[in-house]
Amino acid sequence: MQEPVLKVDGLSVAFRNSLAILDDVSLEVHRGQTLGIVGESGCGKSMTALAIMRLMPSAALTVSGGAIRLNGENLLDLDDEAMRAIRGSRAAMIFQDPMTSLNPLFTVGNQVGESIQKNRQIGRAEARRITADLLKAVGLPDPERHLDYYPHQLSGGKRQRVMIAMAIAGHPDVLIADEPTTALDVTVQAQIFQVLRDMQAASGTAIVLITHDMGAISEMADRVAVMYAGRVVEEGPADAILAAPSHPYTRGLVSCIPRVSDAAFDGWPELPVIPGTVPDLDQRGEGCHFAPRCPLADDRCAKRRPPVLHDGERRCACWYGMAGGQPHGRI
Amino acid sequence: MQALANLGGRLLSALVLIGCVIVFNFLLINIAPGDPATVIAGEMGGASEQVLAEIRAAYGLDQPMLVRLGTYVMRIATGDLGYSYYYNDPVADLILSRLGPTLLLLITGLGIAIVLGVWLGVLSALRPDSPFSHLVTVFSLIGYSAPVFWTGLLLIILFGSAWPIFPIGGIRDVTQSGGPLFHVFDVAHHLVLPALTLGAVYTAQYARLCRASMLEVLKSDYVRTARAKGLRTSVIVGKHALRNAILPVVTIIGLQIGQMLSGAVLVETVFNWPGLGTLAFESVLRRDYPTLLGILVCSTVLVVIVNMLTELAYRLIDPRIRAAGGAG
Amino acid sequence: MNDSHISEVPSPLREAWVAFLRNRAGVFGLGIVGAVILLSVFGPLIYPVDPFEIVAAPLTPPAENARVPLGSDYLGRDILSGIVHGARVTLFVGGAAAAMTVVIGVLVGAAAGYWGGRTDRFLMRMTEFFQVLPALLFAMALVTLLSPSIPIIATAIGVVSWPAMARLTRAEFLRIKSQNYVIAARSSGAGDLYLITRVILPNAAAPLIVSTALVVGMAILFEAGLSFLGLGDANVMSWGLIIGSNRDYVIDAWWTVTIPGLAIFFTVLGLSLIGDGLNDALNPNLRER
Repeated sequence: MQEPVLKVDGLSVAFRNSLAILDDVSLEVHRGQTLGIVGESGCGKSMTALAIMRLMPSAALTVSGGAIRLNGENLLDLDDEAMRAIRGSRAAMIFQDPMTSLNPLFTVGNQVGESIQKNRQIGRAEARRITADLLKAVGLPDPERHLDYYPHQLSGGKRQRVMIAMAIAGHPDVLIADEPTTALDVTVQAQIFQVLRDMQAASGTAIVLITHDMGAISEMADRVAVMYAGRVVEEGPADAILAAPSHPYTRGLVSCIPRVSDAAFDGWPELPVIPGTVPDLDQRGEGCHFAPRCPLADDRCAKRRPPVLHDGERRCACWYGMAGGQPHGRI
Repeated sequence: MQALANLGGRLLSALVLIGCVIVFNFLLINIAPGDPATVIAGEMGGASEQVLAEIRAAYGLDQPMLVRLGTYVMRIATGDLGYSYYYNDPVADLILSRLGPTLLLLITGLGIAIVLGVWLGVLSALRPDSPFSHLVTVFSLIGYSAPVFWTGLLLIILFGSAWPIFPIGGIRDVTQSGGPLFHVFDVAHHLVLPALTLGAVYTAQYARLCRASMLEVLKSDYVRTARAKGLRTSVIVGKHALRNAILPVVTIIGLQIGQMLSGAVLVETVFNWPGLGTLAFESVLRRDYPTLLGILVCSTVLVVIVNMLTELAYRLIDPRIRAAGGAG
Repeated sequence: MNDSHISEVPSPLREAWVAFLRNRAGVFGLGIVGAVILLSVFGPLIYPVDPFEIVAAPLTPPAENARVPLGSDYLGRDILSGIVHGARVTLFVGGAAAAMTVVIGVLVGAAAGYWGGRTDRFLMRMTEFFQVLPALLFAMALVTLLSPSIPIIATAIGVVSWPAMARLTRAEFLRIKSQNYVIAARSSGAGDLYLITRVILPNAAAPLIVSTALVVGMAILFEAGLSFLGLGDANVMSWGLIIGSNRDYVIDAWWTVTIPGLAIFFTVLGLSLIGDGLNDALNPNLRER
């Protein structure tokens, strides 16, 4: 099999050198494929994305171990200048809130053009032409006119398209999309996903899609990694995991997806919820972090780190193991 | 078109404001104890009966209040600010002759404050925990708390005897003469201490404000976007962050220009700078009311103009205001 | 019976006070201002030398003559006595002007922010008018035309200082007016006066208190400036007056302006530090860091 474009290997991030925000996170994504990272807020999925880009929001957060390989090259070994050259060129990122992620004081053409000129030595007129092409590619009607618009003149969906145009300006090998549709209307969500899929089909860019929405995973992802409290608890092909989740947490997430059939025939179905919340940073012991909320948990789960079990293309970190994609015992 | 309409609206409200100040002046003269004619002539100016009679006739002081107000406003609207019986000159001419030095001092002081204040603020926001940043914070507090005339006097103590490299008073050295170039250099040389004194106060304030807004902006999503785009730090800070961080500074310049003019009055007095401030100070000593009130009207006009300029600058920087059609 | 139970929950005010005490700069500021207040109250009793009386040779440097420990001015008057007696007028004018600023500013700002619409437009026009007035020149004209007495000076400062306070109050009222608890109180039949004074104002208090500390400092600087120009009450010694009357001798007698200037500087610095400390203490978001 081909080498993955991006391979995160045992990445750990610590807060003030003591509390683990990310704990031994391993992920990979191949060319032309989409990896979904899913989990509740606070599970470390956004931190993983920022760590890959080396855009830690605070100096108190430091990488304490592991490697991030982009086409085999460990990003953690690079100096700041070399990392800067990679951002926006080989690795790009788009963010959750398109309303605040664009600079309000500069035109769309200026901000997208800046990304183009970062990667190629070209003049303004040329950059403007390429920008218009990019805006067209992300589905903005009348791209020439949009060049001179300011962000506040655009809707949220259009702004996110501009963000995507900016991100793909450097033809990145990998595009990290951190909750790109969370702030948008449902109909606009579908359009943004379509733009991302079209872009991927045309360029073969690998996508890392970060979301809390299992629906988005089933729509977009080839593979999925489920994160909980800084650890990857389950990882594998998206359709297999959605069809038969192994980890109790994943089962909880999957059963939270509302299904139209239930609603249509039984009135308002009772949506299952996972009781409890993600433990605080200083409340995380060595054992399984999900143990306090897990219906299967016993003393061993609470005390000792669960083993990572492999089954073909899937892996799962749970004391209750897995057999043919199913955990032992019933939830 | 929209922009023109806005400008028209601003101009109109500026005129209304100036009108209010004129009416206010009129009221001041009338509530002052004693005969308004004496007030206009100034107690020391020339209170002879003949002059007082002339004033009564000219200002129509025997007319009803409203008529007098109308006359007064009309006189000022036509540029007639009255007559200084002390200087024996029309007030308008007096003010014009003193306006240049004051503008020179204000513009230089403001320039120092903007450049230095923004620079200090940005640098300290980039390294908020560094010794330099703490130094800027301390400097801001000192600059804010020290009376401007006292700072000026301390500089006079320092440069007056201990280290006499800058002149400590006046605008030029009358004992020397030279070509126009010498003249320019001479004025600049005299300008150093007054401008630094006035600039220091506002440097401190702008540095503090700019530091705070820069810290805020550096945490913003669009700066994170700029970093994710792999832009150079100089572009991220100099383009994306600075332009946003400077907006509150522009606002405060407009709001504080009246205050800065007050500072200029004190600085001019300290350094005998021959501007409107010393003229105002002298008029107070000489009870030269027409001159004092004329300065009040003119400086209000000045403040209104600067206000409009800063608003214009804000609109140029921030497209959101441009589109929304005005902040106020 | 369960009073003791209730007192276990710290009130927000007490909590802010504890947070303020943790701020070393703020406590330092409080110390300075406390000392100046004590000086103004008890100083003249402990050190009863008349500040207008000529007690030594003119321009005696500090520590040369025991009768004038901080030196004498151009007439031979005691600088220390001027500092001690000047504290009163400085604090009084600063306090009175600040009180006036706060009262006018909060009234105008509250009315504009609460009622909005035409009231707001009218009041804001008025605020704008006072804001563009060159404050010192206006106060100079007012004091010269009327009389340089302490109440007139305090009034002149108050009249030119309130616009900033009004703007701040208005902004806070606008923000709080639309909060759910205000809407809830209104829908349960609370009247305008009740809403303004009991519901909105307490929630707007934090920034208003902080800016009050700064307003007092500004008023003191303003008063010093007027007295420096000779527009203070000539019958009352003030720090600005000492500086103003000695400024022609500054090169030969540094102490005559440096010492009273330091007194003004530290008082205003103390107030600024208190303002900063209060800002940190009253702002829960900042406190958590």
